[in-house]
Amino acid sequence: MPKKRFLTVLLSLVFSLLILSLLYLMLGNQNVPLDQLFTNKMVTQLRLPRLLSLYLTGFLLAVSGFLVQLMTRNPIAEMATLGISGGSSLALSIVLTLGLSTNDGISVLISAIGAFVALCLVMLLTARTHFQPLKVVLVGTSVGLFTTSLASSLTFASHDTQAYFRWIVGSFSGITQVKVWLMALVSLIFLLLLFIFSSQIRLLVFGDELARSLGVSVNQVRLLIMTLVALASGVTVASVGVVSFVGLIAPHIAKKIARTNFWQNIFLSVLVGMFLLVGADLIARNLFKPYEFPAGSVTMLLGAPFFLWVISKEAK
Amino acid sequence: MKKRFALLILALILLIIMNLTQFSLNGKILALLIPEFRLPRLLTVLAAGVALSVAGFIIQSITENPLADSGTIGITSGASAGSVAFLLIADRFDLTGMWNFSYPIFALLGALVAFAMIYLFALRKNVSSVRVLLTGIAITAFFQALITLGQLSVNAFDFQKVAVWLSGDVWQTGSSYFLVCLVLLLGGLAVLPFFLKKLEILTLGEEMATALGLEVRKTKLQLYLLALLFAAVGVLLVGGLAFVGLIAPHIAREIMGFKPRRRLLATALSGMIILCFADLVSQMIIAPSSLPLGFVVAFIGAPYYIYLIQKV
Repeated sequence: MPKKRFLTVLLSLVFSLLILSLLYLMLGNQNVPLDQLFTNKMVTQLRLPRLLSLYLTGFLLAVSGFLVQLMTRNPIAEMATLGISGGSSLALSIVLTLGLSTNDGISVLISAIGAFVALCLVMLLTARTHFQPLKVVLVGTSVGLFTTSLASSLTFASHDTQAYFRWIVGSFSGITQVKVWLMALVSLIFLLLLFIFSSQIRLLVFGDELARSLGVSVNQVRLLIMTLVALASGVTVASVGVVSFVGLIAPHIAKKIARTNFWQNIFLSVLVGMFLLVGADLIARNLFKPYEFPAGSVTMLLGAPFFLWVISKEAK
Repeated sequence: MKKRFALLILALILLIIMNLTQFSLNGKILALLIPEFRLPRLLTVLAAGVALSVAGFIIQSITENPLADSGTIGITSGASAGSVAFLLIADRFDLTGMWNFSYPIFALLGALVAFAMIYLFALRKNVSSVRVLLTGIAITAFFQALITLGQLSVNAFDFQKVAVWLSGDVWQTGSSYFLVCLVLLLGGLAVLPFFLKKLEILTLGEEMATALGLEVRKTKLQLYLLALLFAAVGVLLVGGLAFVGLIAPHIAREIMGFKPRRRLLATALSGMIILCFADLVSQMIIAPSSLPLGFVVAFIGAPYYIYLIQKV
């Protein structure tokens, strides 16, 4: 896409995200008028960190979705559809039910390891089918189903319903400042590695053989992407839970606008992902005030028909 | 064949005895425990085993898809959403007593909605097996999201209970409730023999069936409705228990071959055996407390399911 048009799209997205964010900060259990926004304690101490966590989650999910789709050359791939986030949930629930650790940093690490193991398992199980997209997703969702059902049973055994909701459908209500810092740290690492290796990652688009002949060590790049995705899944699941379908929807919309340009795709995916999440949590917090429901269920409701649409396109 | 049947029945009886006694021979305690707690639970589990496995058998036969069952094509989640909807309504308006009999109706309605969705998006169009299953996953996600939204108004009663039940656990609300489910199940089983011949013809392929004078569309729809009934009964008894309906027909085929009548019987028997075994494990493994049934079944079922996917 030409630079000029890209910039207009980008700016309009940023602008609408800003407006949505302002609305997010203003509306809630108690509405805060615009001029008191930055003096009100509730806004600065509760809503602002939560908004930041939404941004960071949107960034991590959208970029990981994009990377996984690129790596597996599979338009339906995503954290949830590959069973990655399920692996995180299971690892976390095992550690927390056994009472081994409640440290946030260690949780992130463990949940990342769970994600990595799940991803490897799915790759291993589908290697024989030559990574045929629909089948990979079928195995992935089954692994996801298996791991989440184990995770939920474990949490029931420990009588922690709150944790159930955190792990099965992502909710941003339990966000703390430590978690936001951790997410920011991981996002920074993620971004840095992405920048350093971007020239190699973007060559993967052309297929393994061509990439190899262009001097890319394909397997190393794959391993890097898998590690990045596992880290992202680790930190998001440990702090907000399984938020499904954002990593599927955002890159698709971005691809519709930006076509093939690597960085344009990433920028747009991130913005769309953030926009979706802020919108979802805005609805989740305000639709049935004073109750709130998990933002993950909004993305799930939106995502299910989208998923159907993508499958029907892929099957053709 | 007779020998194999005898073996299956023997295995079931053994499991039932183990389940009731749980390896203790203290007559006094057993006399107290069995009629009050263990027998009702066992009956629920056995009835659910029959309902789920027969539902899976019918669905697999019509769709010609070895991975289809009421869970994987989304019907279970629809029935769960239906019963949760009624739970919420009952909680809001304080409906008890006779109103308990509305659960089956709501579960069936939910299952119907889910079936309408899978029919519209996948079954009607003759799409590939993998796509049918993926559509089922999307439908399950949709209903799961709706169920989670329901947690809002659930502050008044224990959400934990519902959540455990949805992941697959024995749901006990008294004998009258169980009796309603049992009547529905027996009704379905009574109708089933009339359809066996048609089912056999259907497995010959649509063209052959039409040539033999069968109204394929109508028969399929009737069979689907029957499967919905079984699936809804299963949900009412043990919640969203996955994998049983999927595995039992496969085991039955391994043992009995392809003849529908024999296979159906073997399916029901293996469904009961699987659930009875899982129930035993779930109660013994961390005794004195128990694991949810769904946890154990998932452990047995999921690896088998993934193994089956590789063969499709």
